[in-house]
Parts: sequence; C-alpha cells; structure tokens
Amino acid sequence: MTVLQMQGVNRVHGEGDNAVHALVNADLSVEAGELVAIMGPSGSGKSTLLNLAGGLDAPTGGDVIVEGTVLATLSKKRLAALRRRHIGYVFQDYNLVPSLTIAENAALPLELDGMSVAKARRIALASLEEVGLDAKLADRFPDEVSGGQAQRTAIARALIGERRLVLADEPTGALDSATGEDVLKLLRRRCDEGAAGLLVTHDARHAGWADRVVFLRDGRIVDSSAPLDEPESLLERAE
Amino acid sequence: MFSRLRLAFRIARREALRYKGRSALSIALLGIPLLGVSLAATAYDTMVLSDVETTEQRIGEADAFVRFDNEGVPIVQHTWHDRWPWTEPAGPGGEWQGEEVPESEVLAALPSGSTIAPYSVDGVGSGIRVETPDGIGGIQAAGYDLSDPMYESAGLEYLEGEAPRGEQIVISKAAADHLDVGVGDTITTVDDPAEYEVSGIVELPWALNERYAVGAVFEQGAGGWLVDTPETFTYEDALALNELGMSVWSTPLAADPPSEPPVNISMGDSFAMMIYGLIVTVIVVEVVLLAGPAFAISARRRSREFALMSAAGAAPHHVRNTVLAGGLLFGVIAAVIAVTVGILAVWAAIPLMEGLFGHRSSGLQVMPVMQASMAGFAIATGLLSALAAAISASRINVVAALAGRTPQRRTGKRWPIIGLVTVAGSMAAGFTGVTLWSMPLMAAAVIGLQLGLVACTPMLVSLVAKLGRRLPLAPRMALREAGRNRGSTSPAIAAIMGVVAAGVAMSLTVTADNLRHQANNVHELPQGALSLRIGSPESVEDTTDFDQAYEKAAQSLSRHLDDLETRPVTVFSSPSCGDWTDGAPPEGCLLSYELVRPEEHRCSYWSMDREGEEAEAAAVEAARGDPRCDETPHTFGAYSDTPGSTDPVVTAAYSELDGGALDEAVALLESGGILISDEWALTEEGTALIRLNYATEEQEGSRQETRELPAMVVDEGLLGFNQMFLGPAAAAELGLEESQLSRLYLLESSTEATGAVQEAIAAEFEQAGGGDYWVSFEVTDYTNPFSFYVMLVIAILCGVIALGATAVSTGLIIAESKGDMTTLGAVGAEPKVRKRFAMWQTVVIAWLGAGLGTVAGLVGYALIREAMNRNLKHVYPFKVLYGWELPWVNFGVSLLAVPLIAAIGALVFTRGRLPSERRVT
Repeated sequence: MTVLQMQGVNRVHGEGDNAVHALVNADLSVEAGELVAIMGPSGSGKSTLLNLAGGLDAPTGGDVIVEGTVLATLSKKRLAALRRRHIGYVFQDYNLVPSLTIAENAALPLELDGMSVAKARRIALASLEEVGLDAKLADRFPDEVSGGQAQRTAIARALIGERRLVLADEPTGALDSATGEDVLKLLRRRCDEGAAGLLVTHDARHAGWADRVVFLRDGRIVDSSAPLDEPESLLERAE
Repeated sequence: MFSRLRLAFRIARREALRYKGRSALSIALLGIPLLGVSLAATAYDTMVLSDVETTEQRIGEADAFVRFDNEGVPIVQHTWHDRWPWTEPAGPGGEWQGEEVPESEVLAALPSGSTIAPYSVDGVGSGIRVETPDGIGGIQAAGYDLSDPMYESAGLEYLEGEAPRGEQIVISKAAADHLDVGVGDTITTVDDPAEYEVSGIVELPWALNERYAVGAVFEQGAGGWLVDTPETFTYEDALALNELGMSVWSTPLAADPPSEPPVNISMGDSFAMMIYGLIVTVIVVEVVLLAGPAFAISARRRSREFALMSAAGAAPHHVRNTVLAGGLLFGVIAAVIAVTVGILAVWAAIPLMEGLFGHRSSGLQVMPVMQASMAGFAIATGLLSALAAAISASRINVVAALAGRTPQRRTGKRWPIIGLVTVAGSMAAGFTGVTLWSMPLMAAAVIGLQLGLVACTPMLVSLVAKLGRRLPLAPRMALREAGRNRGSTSPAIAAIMGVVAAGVAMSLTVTADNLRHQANNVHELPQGALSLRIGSPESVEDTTDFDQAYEKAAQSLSRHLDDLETRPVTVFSSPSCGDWTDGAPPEGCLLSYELVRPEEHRCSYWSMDREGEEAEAAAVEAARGDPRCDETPHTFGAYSDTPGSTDPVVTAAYSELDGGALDEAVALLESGGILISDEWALTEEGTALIRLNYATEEQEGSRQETRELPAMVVDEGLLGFNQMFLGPAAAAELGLEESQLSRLYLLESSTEATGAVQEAIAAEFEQAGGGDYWVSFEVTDYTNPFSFYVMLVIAILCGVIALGATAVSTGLIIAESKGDMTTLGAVGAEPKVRKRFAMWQTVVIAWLGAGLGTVAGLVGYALIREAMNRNLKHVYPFKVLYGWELPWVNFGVSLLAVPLIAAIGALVFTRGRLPSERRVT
C-alpha cells in the first residue's frame, strides 16, 4: 500500500531572476513497510523534499499525496490534523519541546488531538518502551537525558498512535556512531512492522539500512536504486 | 478542548518556570501599572471618606451640627450630604436679612432635653500668635469649654493629659511638636500677652496636621453648634432649625437625605462613565504596549519550539493558545501580586497617608468589586499583551524556524502606510472629537495615535539604521542590528514609547493643574523673592517715621539674613480723597484706575447680544474660538496700588526682563512709559490706555477719563492684578502719588529664608516694636508641594519603568545577536565590542522610544487639555484653563537620564566574554 506519493513535484523559491529551483519534477512513492533513503550533496533539495512530504512546505507544482489525501487540497487546520495523525518527524537535533517531559513529548500529537492526558500518557509510555526507553525516564525533561535517549523519544513521538509515515532528517547527525546505529535499527524495525519511512542522510552506511536509495542533485532525482554494499559508487556514477 | 487548553497551560507554566527571569519581567511589566491602580484605588477608598463617613468623623456621636445660613429668616435646605448645604430663603422673594437669634431660641427649636455646644467643623477657632522656639509663629485657638462631654463625643480625643481647668489649655500634637511643649509646659501668646499651662495633647480626627489650642481662655471662634437630642435626630427637627435660618448637617440625614435638590448637582453618570472608560482604555493600551514586547521577543525566541509543535501536528490555534496561555497565566499572577501588594502597602502606609491627608482614614477599605475588576482587567491585559505575539507565533515559517533561519524580511510598505494613515486618522478623530465633544472619538484618537506610531516604528528604525554608515563599528552594528531585527527592536521601542507617552501626558496635566492652582494667586514677584513691607494704619504726610521704621526693620533683618541688600519699590496709589464720613468721596477725587484694552482687542463676548440663555450661550461659544478672550475673573477690577521704579534691578524683578529688553524697559519707564502684562492692551501705536475713575457730584457711578501712555508688554505671569508697572513720570501723568500707607522693599540675601528664619525675624520685629507701623517680612512662594511630589513620583515611576523596559529589551535583543557576537569573537574582536554594542543598542532603543513617546504624550495631552478646558468654558470669563507648560524635568528624565543610565547599565552589566554556541535541546 502506498503511504506517500509525490507526482511531478516542484518547489521554486523567489521569482524571476532570483528564482531558485529547490526541487524539480520529483516523482517518488513510499510503500508501507518500506524505508527509503534520500542522499545528495548539500543544497540538493533533500530537506525540501522531506518538508514537502510532511506538508510543512507547499509545492509550487505537482501533488503530494499522503495515504490517499492530496495535501494541497487541505486547509491549514486539516493539514495540521493530518500531520498529528499520520506523519511523524525525526530531526537531527532531537527537537523535543523543552518544557514537556519525555512522556509528554511522545504524547504531544495525541494531546494536540484532544486525547485525555491520562490516556495519552499510557500510549506514550508504551511507545517509549517500544523504542527501548526505561519508564523511569518518562518524567524527565529533555535536557536531563542523553542525545540517544532524546532521539529515541523523537522516534517514539514520530510513530505514536496510528502514524505510519516517518520522515527522518539526518536523525543520527548529533549522535555517536553506536547510538546512531541503534536509532537506525529502531527505524528499520518500525518500518518492518508496517510503517513507511523516508530517511535523509549524508552517510552511505546509514543508507544501507534502507530498502531503496534516491539520489538528488540540484533539485532533481538523478537516480534510484537498491542500496549497494558500497553506496558511494552510486554517487560517483551520478557525477 | 479542555485537554488542548491544559496542554497549552502546562507548556506556559513550565516555560514560566524554566525562564524565571523573563517570566518575572513579564509579570512585573504587567503588574507594576496594575499595582499603581490597585494602590490608588485602595488608598482612595481608604482615605477619601464618603459623605456619611465625613459626617461621622467631623461630628462624631453628636446628632447634628447646625449653623446660621440666614439668621432669623426661614430657609429651605436642598442638600444634606455635606457641611455646606445648599439653602435658599423660604418662600417667594425671600431675603437674606433677618434678626439675630439668641442661643436660647436655638435650644427652644429642638426637642426638650436637647443640649448644644459651640463648635466649628471647618477649622479650629481663629488665628493667634504665640512664641515658638525660633521666634513667633501662628496657631489656631478655640474657646470651647471642654468640660462639656459633647466635645469628646464629637471626636475630640486626649492623647495625653486631661481636660483643661481654669486657665489651662489643651493643644494638638502638631502644635505641641511645633512649639516643643508637652503636658505641664506653658505657651505664651503674643498679641494678648499671657502664659497658659498645657493640660493635655488632643486630636480631632479631621485636623491631624492643624496646630491649634483649645481652652475657655480663648475667644470662642465657633461657626455653629453641636447638637445632642434625647432621641434620634429627625427631619422634623431639621425643619424646625431651618425655620430659624439654620442649616443642618446630621449623620442620619446625610445617610438618607430627606429631600432632593431641585436640579441635579452631580456630574452626569454617563459623562463619568465616559471619563472612567477613557482612563481604563488608556491604561490597558499602555500596559499592552509595555508588556507586549516581552511576549513578542519571548515568542520569537521560542519560534523553533513552535515550529516543532507544528511539525508534530499542532494547528495554528494550538500555537496561539500556547502563547495566550502564557499571557493569561502572567496576567493572573500579576493581578494576584498587584492586588495583594497594593492592599498590604496601603495598610502599612495608613499612618503616613493620614499624615499627608491630615485626617484619619475610615480603616482599610479594599473595594472587593474593584479588586475583582482589577483581576479581570489584569487577565484581559495579559491576554491582549500576548495577542500580537500569539498571532505572530502561529504564522511562523515552520521550515525556516526548524532550520534555525530568520526568513528574509522585506521592507514592506504596508505597515508604515497603515501606521501613517492611523496617525493621520487619529489626529483627525481627535480634533473631530474635540469639536463634537465626543469622548469616544478622543479616546480612539489617543489610542490610535500610539498604535499608529507603533506601526511606523519599523520604518523609523530602518531609516535610523541607514544613518550609521560612517559611525564606528559598535554604533554602526547597533543601528543596523536594530534595523535588521525590527521584529524585536520595534516592540521594545513601543514599550518605552507607551511609558513615556503616559508619563508626558500625566506630567503635562499635573503641571497645568498646578499652574491653574497658582493662577489663583496672582503673581507679582518672582518665585522665592524676599520682600519687606511697612504699613501705617492711616495716611502720613511725613515720611520720616516710615524711614525710622525701615531702619529698625533693616537692622533686625540683617541679624538673620547675611549679605542683605534692600531696594525700595515705590508704591503708587490714588491721592487721598480725604475723610468720607458722609459715605461719599468728594467730587473729582480719583477713586481708581485700570488698564483697558482698545476696542478692537476686546473679547467678542462683550460686544454680543447676551439677552437670554441662548444668546448668552452663543456669546460664550464665540468666545471659545476668539484668542482675545483670554480674560479670567482676575482680569477685571480697578486697583489703587501699583508698584513702580526705574531701578533696573527692581524692574527686572517685576518683569523678568534682562539684557537689551531690560534697558529698553528702564528707558521707557524713565521717559514716562509703563510696563503692562496684557498683550491685548497694547495698541498698534505701542501705547496702553489707562482709565481713571473720578468721583462725581451725583455720587452714582463715576466720571471717567482715559490716558494713553507709551507701553511695553512683559511676561503676563507677573505684575499682579494691576497688570502694570509704572515709572514716576507715568505716575505723575496719571495723577498718582507715592503711597502714604505702605512702603515696599525688595531684599536680597545669601541666607535661605526657612520657616525658622521667618519665625525668628517675626520675633525680632515683635521685640523691636514698630510703634504705629506694622512690619512684615515675606517670602514669595507659589509652589504647591503636593503637585511637586506628584510630579516627582510620575518622573521616577516613568523613569524606572522605561529604564527597566529598555534594559530588558536590550538584553533580549543582545541574546538574539549571540550568533553575531560569536562571529565577532572568531574574527578577533575584543570583548569590549560586546559591551559597546549593548550600550549603543540601548541608546538607540531608549532614544527612539522616548522621542516617539514624547510626541505621543504631547498630542495626547493636547486632546486631554481640550477635553478639560471644554468643561471650564461654560461661562465667560472662563475659569483658568489648562495651558502648555512643558515639564522639562520629566523630558530630561525620559530623553537624557533614562538613555544615559541605561547605556551605563549596559556597559557595566553586559558580559564582555563573547559567547560560544550552546547545545540546542
């Protein structure tokens, strides 16, 4: 089942001579249970693609479809509702709300959706357990836990409830290699359990955890392939 | 719904706890103005007594206070609430003349068994002179027989000692302190020399600061009687006293007035509501302007957090609610603190306030409804303060915020245009409001003007930023940073603008009010001038005695005033018209003289038909728009004593002229001209018209002649009622002579003429004895200490709040510029660069805020002034109007002291160490 579909998506910043084409005619689909890695040099449009997929940014052309819904047809309010029910984000620098505890951060989408605090907490605790976080950490604040624990919390939040699309933007960038590896395993496991994942990374080794690797250069998808043992060779080929 | 709000409040509460300093600031910015209102409201309710409380305080348990309004002629009493009731002679054609009514008749009019005792509710007796530790001073004295228990039931309380017996007296605490005497000591009276033993120190709850003595030895000095009836005092009892021509002030009748006045004498409810509405609206706007920036800057700093919430599925209203919850939370905390502190502070300050007001309070009164309104007001203000920040936060560019970028800001023309249109519209609304006498329009103008200026602020900041091209690095960066971070700078400037605007408008109003108060004392000499007056009870032909009296007085003065210099001022007056034993002056005698305006300079009111109410109203209306109609009730009248001299020092003292203008004035006086203070009295030929009023044979009215003399206009604040200053030649031309009744000398000394010095001089004069002459030493003082303290409080309050707003706003902006500082550090900038940068940021913000605030305050006062003056212009001559006297001290505080202190503070308190990036969590 296709969870994310991008059809001829364009994103242009600015106008006239100042126009910058951040993404050009991008076509991409991600199925349930699939983890797709996005690779490319800086400024190639990786984050733009991710933001468009999550409805944080709007395309200047083409359609972004999440679980059958064309994002462009949604109001801001419904778009926000779609994000909290279907899409989860994981960022490089954790991005937890500092004034909420670990459990509350994980439960944030549910509480925003109107769920009672107690019920949202129960689900959040289960979600934290799934990502391997000790329940004792649940009531700590983000600045009281390690980077790896914070990122696990972000993943727990990204996949809490019925959410099936995880958008991860360099999720291991601020972590040491061992912790980063754990996080990617976790992401892989969640995709294996039925979620769809989009992983932006610079690191070919991390891309090795994906089912497919999509290469971007100057806003265009230049290639798409199953990950190789030596993914760097794909980059060389693209050049 | 509630779950979402709970989340918003949870985040707001945790944010508040995480950033305690910032939270305390926001609460302080919201709470300080509210604290002011809470203090004022509680203090007002505690210290300003109701009609019934006033009655109870002034007459205590006595049933009534009565006095003659119209001795022997029945009156109708219309009002009952205060001690000066509105009464009229009863019946058509009632007269204000009657026959003396003895005390026995007053008693006879009351129920059997009633008692009365002489008393006054306006003051205590009449003035006497007594010896003081420094010399001679004045106190009040009343001749009540304090063995009558009615005085104690009326409120007289013994603080020490007991009731006087025989020739003993009691004195007030203020008198005891001033005279430095206690129970068992004696005081010495001067005019009727005697010594009286003090048997007690007493207090009347309504005359705490009055210096008085009470004892049967003094003249009675009562204005009426206390009344005690065997049963409750009734309306019928009051009517019986009204029949004798007596007005009645009684607690039960003040609480429940038995009759209504024929016309409504209170200010209309709708008008009062409008005024209160205007005040509340203006306070809300000022507080929002003050506290709003803290929320705006805080929201900008949290933009990444909001973006993250959006990424997690928060809709704009979720983000908005989160910021608003902060406003609500801070509003509630500010309200609780402000109300609590306000009540406690008033409670603690009751003794101090009683001393200031001069009467006892009615006990702490907190006005629960008012305090509840305050809480609602604070919550609404907190919400409004956070509103702009909340809307802005809900519209953030999520992608840019997540990436840590500040989106490129275009120099949009929309806001400056909206701002300029709002400013123009507000000005138009203001003048329309004044013309149509519409308070809502005027309120809208005051508010709109400030909001318009706020909208223009980014444009102004941007313009100022362009001026920095040739400045050194730190000010150049500060200016450009202010321009670049307009989103942060503008709210900070708006905050200071709000404070300064309110302060300027308030101080202008207080200054103008003070001047109106002073205008009732017509000025003749400059503030602080010292003078000596010597008077004779009758005209003297030989001035030798005057000279001797002067010599003695000068010797006395020189013992207390160092480096004494005296300069005689000639007092010109009409020549004596002889003995008027038959009640009429002799034919052709010069009675008086007055300055008159040429016909074309007279106010239009005088030449209009004023028959009937409508015509009168039309004439008054015409006078409102006529600049010639600047006369006051003081303008009119013919006087008979006018100072004069050709001595430049004396002329300068009266005219406040100097340099070439003074030389010109002295030359004019020497050549037969005069100085005048009414600019409209000057003819086109540079002359002034003096009307001389002579007695006529018919003894009705007077024969008049007009003389024309060369004239020069000087400061209209001086020259007193006469509005003239004469030279000897002009006086001769007018037929005036040097006064044979009094002499006047201006004094100069290096000694400050304090109260003690004045008392010592009075004692010296008394000791030296003036023979048939009276001698007085005077210090010209027009100041109103209360208004001075109000101005001081306003200046300090505005200065402190503006300083706080400047410092905090600058601090927040500098925190935002941390990245730039890191870059500077990386390229080798010295730590002091950061300090200088902070200092210049402070100066830019403080100056722009204070400048705009001053403009807004001036325009705001212009509207307030028009509104106030409108009420004073119902009859012509108008009452003394609110004018334009700029409070330079307050301007100095806002425009110089605040930026300077803030700049020094920034230099001292900004950390020089350049920051390194910390981990973002």
